[in-house]
Amino acid sequence: MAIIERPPETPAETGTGAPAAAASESYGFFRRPVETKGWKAWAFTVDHKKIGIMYGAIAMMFFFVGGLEALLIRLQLAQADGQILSADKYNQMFTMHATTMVFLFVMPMAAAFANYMIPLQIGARDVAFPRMNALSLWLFIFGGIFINSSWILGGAADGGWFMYAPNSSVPFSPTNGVDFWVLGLLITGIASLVSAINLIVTVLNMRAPGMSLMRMPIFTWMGLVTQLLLLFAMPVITVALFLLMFQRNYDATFFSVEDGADPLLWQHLFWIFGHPEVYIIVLPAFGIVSEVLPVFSKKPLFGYPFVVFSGAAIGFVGFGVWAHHMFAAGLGPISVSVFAVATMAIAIPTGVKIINWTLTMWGGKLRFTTAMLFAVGLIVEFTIGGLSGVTHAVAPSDTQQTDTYYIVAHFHYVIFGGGVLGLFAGMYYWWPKIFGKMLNETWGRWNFWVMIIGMNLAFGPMHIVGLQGQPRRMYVWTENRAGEGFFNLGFWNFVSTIGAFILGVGALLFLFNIWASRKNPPAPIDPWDARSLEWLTESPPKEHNFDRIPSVNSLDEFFHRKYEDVGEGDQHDYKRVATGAEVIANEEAHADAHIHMPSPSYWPIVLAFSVPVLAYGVIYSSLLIAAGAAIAIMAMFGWALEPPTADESEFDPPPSGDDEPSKEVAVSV
Amino acid sequence: METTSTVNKMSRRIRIGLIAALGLAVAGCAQDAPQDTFDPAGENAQKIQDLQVPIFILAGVVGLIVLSVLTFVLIRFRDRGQAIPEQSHGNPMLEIVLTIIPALILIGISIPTVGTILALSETDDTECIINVTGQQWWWEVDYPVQDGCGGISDVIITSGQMVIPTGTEVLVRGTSRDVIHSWWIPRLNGKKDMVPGRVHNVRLQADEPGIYAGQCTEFCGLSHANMRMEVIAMDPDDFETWKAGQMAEYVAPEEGTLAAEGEATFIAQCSRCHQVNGLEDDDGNPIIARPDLQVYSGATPNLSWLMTRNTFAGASWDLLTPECRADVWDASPETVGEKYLEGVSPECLNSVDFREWLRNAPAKKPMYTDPTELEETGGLPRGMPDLGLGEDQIDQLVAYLLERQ
Amino acid sequence: MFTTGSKFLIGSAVFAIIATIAYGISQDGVMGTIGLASAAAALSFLAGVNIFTHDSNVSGSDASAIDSCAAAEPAPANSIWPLAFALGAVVLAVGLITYQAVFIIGIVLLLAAGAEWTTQAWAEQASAEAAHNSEVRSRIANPLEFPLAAAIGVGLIVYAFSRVMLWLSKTNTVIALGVLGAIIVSVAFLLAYRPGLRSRTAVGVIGVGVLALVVGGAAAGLDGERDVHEQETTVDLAHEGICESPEEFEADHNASQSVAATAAVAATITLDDSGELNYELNGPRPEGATALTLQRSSPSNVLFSNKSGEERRLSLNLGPATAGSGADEEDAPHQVCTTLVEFDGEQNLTLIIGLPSIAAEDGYHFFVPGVESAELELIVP
Repeated sequence: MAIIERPPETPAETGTGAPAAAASESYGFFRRPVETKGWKAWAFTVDHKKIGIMYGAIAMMFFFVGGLEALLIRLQLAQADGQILSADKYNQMFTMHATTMVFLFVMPMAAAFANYMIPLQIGARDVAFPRMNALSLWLFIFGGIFINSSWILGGAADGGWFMYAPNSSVPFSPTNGVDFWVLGLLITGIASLVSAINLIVTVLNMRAPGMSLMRMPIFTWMGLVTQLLLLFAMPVITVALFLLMFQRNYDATFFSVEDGADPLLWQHLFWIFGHPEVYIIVLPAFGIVSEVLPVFSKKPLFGYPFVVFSGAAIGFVGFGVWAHHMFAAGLGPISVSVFAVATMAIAIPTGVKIINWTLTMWGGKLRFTTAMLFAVGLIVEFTIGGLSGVTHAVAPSDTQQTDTYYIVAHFHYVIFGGGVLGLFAGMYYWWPKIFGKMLNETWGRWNFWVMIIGMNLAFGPMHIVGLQGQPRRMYVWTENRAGEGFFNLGFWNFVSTIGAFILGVGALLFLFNIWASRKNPPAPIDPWDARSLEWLTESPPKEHNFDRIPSVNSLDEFFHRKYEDVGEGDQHDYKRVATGAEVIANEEAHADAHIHMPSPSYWPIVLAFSVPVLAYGVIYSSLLIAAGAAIAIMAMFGWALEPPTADESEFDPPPSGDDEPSKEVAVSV
Repeated sequence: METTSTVNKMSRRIRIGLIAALGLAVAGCAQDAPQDTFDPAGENAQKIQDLQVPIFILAGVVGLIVLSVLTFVLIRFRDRGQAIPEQSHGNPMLEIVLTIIPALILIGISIPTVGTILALSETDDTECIINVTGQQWWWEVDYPVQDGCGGISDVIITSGQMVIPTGTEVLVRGTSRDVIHSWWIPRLNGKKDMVPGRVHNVRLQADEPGIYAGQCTEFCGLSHANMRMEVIAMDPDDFETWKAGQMAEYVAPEEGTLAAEGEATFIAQCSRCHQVNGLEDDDGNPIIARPDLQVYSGATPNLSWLMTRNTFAGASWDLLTPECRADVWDASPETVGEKYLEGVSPECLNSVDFREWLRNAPAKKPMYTDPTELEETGGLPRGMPDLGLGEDQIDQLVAYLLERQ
Repeated sequence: MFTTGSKFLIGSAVFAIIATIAYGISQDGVMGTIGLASAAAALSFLAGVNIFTHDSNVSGSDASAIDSCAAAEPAPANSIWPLAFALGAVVLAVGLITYQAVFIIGIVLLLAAGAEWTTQAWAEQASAEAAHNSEVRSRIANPLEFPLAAAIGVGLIVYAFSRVMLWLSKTNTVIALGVLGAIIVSVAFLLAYRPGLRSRTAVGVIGVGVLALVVGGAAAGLDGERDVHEQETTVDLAHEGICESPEEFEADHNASQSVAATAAVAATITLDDSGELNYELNGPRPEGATALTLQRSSPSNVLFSNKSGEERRLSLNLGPATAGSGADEEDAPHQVCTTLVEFDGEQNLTLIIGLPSIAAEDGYHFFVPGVESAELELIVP
C-alpha cells in the first residue's frame, strides 16, 4: 500500500514541473501484491484473463447450485401433491432458481467470456480500467454469496424472481429473504454496471490500429451491445430495488395501495429492466455462435453487417416491449395492442440472425466438433423458443398462456437453448485458448447429446402441461385438474422430471470432461484454424496478451494472415500461406520493446467486501452499516492513492532492464 | 381432436411428445383436462381459439421450414474434403428479401391480433355484472343489486364458485384485497390480473351448462397453488332457482338437534369472522362478523349457504365425496345444473377433508397463522388459524353447516 | 514581509474586530462584547509583535544562516488556510455566545481548514520541488476533497432548490419547473448546435445559474416555506367536522388537489349542474342499479369529479359511530371526505370499508355538503 512515492534525489532535469515517473521510495504499510503464483495472484489480480477465469468458475458453481434447486422443484412436481418440499420452501426454491440462473450464472458466465475475450479480440493488453474490473468480479462473488446466505439466515426470498409488489412487502413476506434478495441484486447490479462501463470504454478506445468498428469480431460487437443494454437497464432495476428496500426497511409506501400507490409501478419498472435482460442473456451467446459457425464452416459470417445491426436493433427495440409481460395485468386494449405489435417487430431482427447463421453454413465445409454441435443446437432450440414466443406476442393467445408452464417452456428454450448452449459452445471453442489444453471431444459429444436430450425432455413437455392449464409457481398440482387423456399432466410432468435429471447428468458430464481432460497434452496453437485476433497469440496468452500490438487490415484478420486469395479476377481460390504457429512466431519476433502492465491491488477486493457488510447492516444493525462504510472509505482512499503500476522496489527481485514506461500501459483507475 | 389414452408404449409417447414440443401444432387435444386452453366453451374463449390455432399452425410450419433447411445444410455441406469455400461476406439482396418475408408474416398476424384484443375488451353487450375479489387464498364473488342477471334484488355473496346463467354476457369486475391475483377460467376466457386498488373487467360467457375449472395464476404467496375457483354455468331457469336459494331467509336449526348445538358453537367460535346472514344473538340483534378486525386481509368467506357450493377453502377441496363429485362434475349439460342445485347431502359430504379442515386448517393448507410469524401484521393471521376445536364441537359444526343450504 | 504566522494573527484580529462590532450591535449584554474586544486587542497586539520582530525572517547579515535557515528552503506556496482557520475560530467563538448552528459551522470550518493546512504543510516538506509537492498534496487530499466538495455542492444546490420550490405557491412551482425545463433544454440546444462555444462561457453561465439558485434558496429559506397542510383528506377532516361543511377551511386551501390513481378506479362520482350525484364505473354499470357497490375490506379508489360550478367536497357517511362493535371503535371516523374540489377538478378518495353496509341502520351514503339533492347510496356487501 504505497501511499506516495518520493522522487529521486535529483529533481527532474526538464524543469517543466512534471513529476518524475520512476519513483525510488514509497511510504506505506504493506507492499503491493506482486505475486504471480498462489492465491494472492488470483485474489488481488487485475489481469482480465484471470478475472475472466474466476468469473467463469464461480458462475459454473452457481450453475450447479441453481441446477440443484431446479431438480428439487422437478422432484416436487413429478407427482400430484408432491411432498418433497413445503409450500414455503418451494416458493423459495423457484425464486432462487431463477435468480441464481439469471443473475449468478448466465450473466456472469457471459461476463467471463466478455472479460477474457474482448481485449484479446480487439488486440488490447487489458481492459480500460483493470482495477474496476477486479471490483466487478468481487462484487459479483460477494453479492452471490450474500443472496445465498439467506438460506441459513431464516429463509430465502419467496416472492418469485419478478418479486411483484405488494406480495414482496413485509406483511406478505415477513422473513428477511426478500431483503437479502433486494440487497444482493443491488450488489451484483453494481458489478454489472461497473463492468459494462469498463467494457464499453475498452471496446471504443482500445482497439488495435486498423480495427474499425465494422472490422470488430462479432462476439465483441454483441458484447458491446450487451454492455450498452446493461448500462441502460441496470439503473432501472436499481431504482426499483431501492424503492422496495425503502418500502421494506424504512417504512416507505411506494407500493402500499391503501396509501394510494399503484402496484403496477413495480411491474413496469421490473420489466423495463427485465425484458432487455433477456437480450443481455442471449446476445453474448449469439456472439459466440456467430464466432463458432464461421470457423467450423470455413466461411466468413454471412451478412456480417446485418448480424451486427440486427443485434443492435434487438438491443434497441428490446426497451420498447416490456409490457408484453403484462398482457394480463389490465393495461387496457390500446396499450396491449401497441406492445403486441412491437413484440412481433422484435421477432424480425431475431429471425435475421437465424437466417444468417444458416446461410453462413450454406456452401461451407462443416466440421462437427463439440463447439459446432452446441452452436447448431442453439439454432435449433432457439428457433423453437422464438416461435413459441411469437404465439404469445399475440396478446389474446398470451392471456391463455401467460403464467402457465407454456411460458416456462418458452423461456427455457430461449434462455437455455439460446443462451446456455451458446455458452457451452464457447467453452469448448475457447477452452484450448484459455487453458492451453483441448477438452476431450468424445466426452464432449456425450456432454452435448445428453444435455440436448435432457433439455428437450425437461422443457418440451412443459409446452403441453402449460397448454393444458397448469400454472407456474404452484408447489403442488392436483389429480382433479390433471385430466386423463394423452396430454394428461401426470405423465408429462413425470417426463419433464426425468428430462431434468438427464439434463443434470449432461451438465455433470461437462465437469467430468474437464477432469478427464486434465492430462491432455498441450493443445495445438491454432487448433480450429480460427479467424479472429484472440488466436494471434499463444495459448494461454501471456499476461500482456500480445508481444506486438497487431495491426488489422480486415475482418477475420487471423484467417487472412494464414490464407491468401490466389485466384484471378472474379475467381477466388484460397491457399494457405502460413500456419497459425508461423504467424504467431512472426509476431513474437517483432515483440514490442517495452510493455508495462498495471499491477495487482488489494483495494478492489477490500472495497467489494465492504458492500455486503453494509448490506448486512441494512438488515441487522446500523453498527454494521458504519463498519461497512468505514471499510469502504478506507478502501476508496487506498485505491485513489495507489499508482497504477507498482513501484519497482516492490518486485522481488526487481526486474532488470530499462524502466522507461512504454505507451501501452493501460490506463488504470 | 380426440386422443385416447394408451399408457403402454412409453418410448413412442416420448417421441410423439418431442414432436409435439417441436412442432407445437398439435397441442391441446386432451379431452379431460379441465383447464385445457384449447377447448373453448364460450364465445370469448372461442375468439382466442380462432386466433391461436392458425398462429400455432403457422409457427409450426415456419419452424418446420427453418429446421428442414437447417437439416439440409448440415447434411449437404459437411466436410467431405471439399475446397475452402469462397470467403463471401453475404448477399444483401437475399438478406433483405429474407427480412421482408418474416416482416410480412408478422404484419399478417398483427392485424387479427389487434382486432381480437379490441373485440375482447368490448363491454357494451353486458347483461350481467358480477364482482370478484381476490384474497390470500380464495375468491369472493358477489352479485350487486341490478336488473341484469335476470334481476337481483338483494346482494348475493358467495366464494370459490361463481354461478352464471348460460348464453348470457357476464362481465366480471375484479379487484383484490391484498396482493395481485389472477382470474382465469381457461375454457371461458383468458386470464386477467386482479390488482388491489384497481378494478379490471373480464368477460365470461358459457354456451352450455357445465362446471368450468380455473386457478389463480398470478403468484400470490404461500398457498398460491391452493387458490382455485370454478364457474358453474346453468340454464337461466336453474339460475333463478339458485338465486332464490341464495336470497332465502335464515332458518334456525330445530331446538334440541345437534345442529342447534352447532349454531351455538358457531356463534361462539366462528361468527367473529364468518358471516351467516340472519344469525341473531340472544338479544335478537343481527350478528355481524368482523373479519376486518380478525384477519389481515379483512374478509372471510360468507358461510350462509356453504353447502350450496361443492368445494371449500379456496375451492381446493371438495365438499362432495369422490363418487358424488363425479356424479355432478361429469353430468351431461342437461342435468348438471339440476345436480349442482341439489347441494351437499349428509351422505355425500366429504367429511374426511372437511373435518380435517375444521380440526386444524393451517395443517391442511399452508397459511400464515403461527403467532411468531404475525409480528408484521399486528398479530392478524393471513388465513384461518387452528381453533383447537374438540371432536364434539366439530360434530356439532358439521351438523349445523350441513343445513346451510 | 508578512510571514505566515503574522498573516494568521492579522486575519484573526480583523475577524475579532468585526465580530465585536457585529455582536455589539445585534446582541444585548456587554459581556460578549467585552470578551470579543479583548480577543481583538490581544490578537492585534500579537500581530504587531510578530511583524515587528520579523519572526522567522532571516537577517540578511547572517551569512551562515542563508544556507541553513528555513527561508533557504523553497518558499511555501500561498495558502488560504490560515485565514480560513482564523475565520473558523472566530465563527466558533461567535457561535458559542449566539446560535448553536453558527458554533457547528465554526467547528467544521476550523477542522477543515486545520486539516488542509496540515496536509499542505506536510506536503511542502516532501521535496525541494514545488510542483512535486503540490502533486503529493493533491494525491493525499483529493480523494477526500473531491467527493466531499461534490457532496456539499450538490447538497447545497438541492437544498437551495427545495427551499425555492417550497417557498413558491403551488401554482408557481409548476410554472417554475416549466421555465427551468425550458432553460435547460435551450442551453442544451445551444451547446449542441454551437460546439464552438467556449467552455469558459458555458461554465460562466452555469456558474451564474448556480449562484442565483443558491442566493434564491437562501432568500427563500429565510422567508420560510409556504403553508403546507399535512392531511389532505379523510380522517382528520371528519374529526374536525369539516366533512359536513361546505365552507372552506385551512386544510382545503392548502392541501394539494392530487389525483393519485386515475387508472382503473373503482368508480368515478360526478356532481353535475343539477346537484345530482352520479357514478360511472370502469366498464358498464349494473343495469338498473341506483346504488354504488364497493367490495368489502378492499382498497377502492373513488374519484370525485366536480362539475357543479362551485367548489364542493364529497363526503361519505358511514352511519352512526356506534355501528361498529367494540369499544376500540369509538374513535373511528364515521365520515370521510375529500377537500374542496374546484370546478372541473377531480380528487381521489381511497376507501377501505371493513364493515358491511347492513351494519348501519340507514346504510352508507355519499353526500355533498351544501347540496341537498346530492346523495348516493353505497352498498358494501
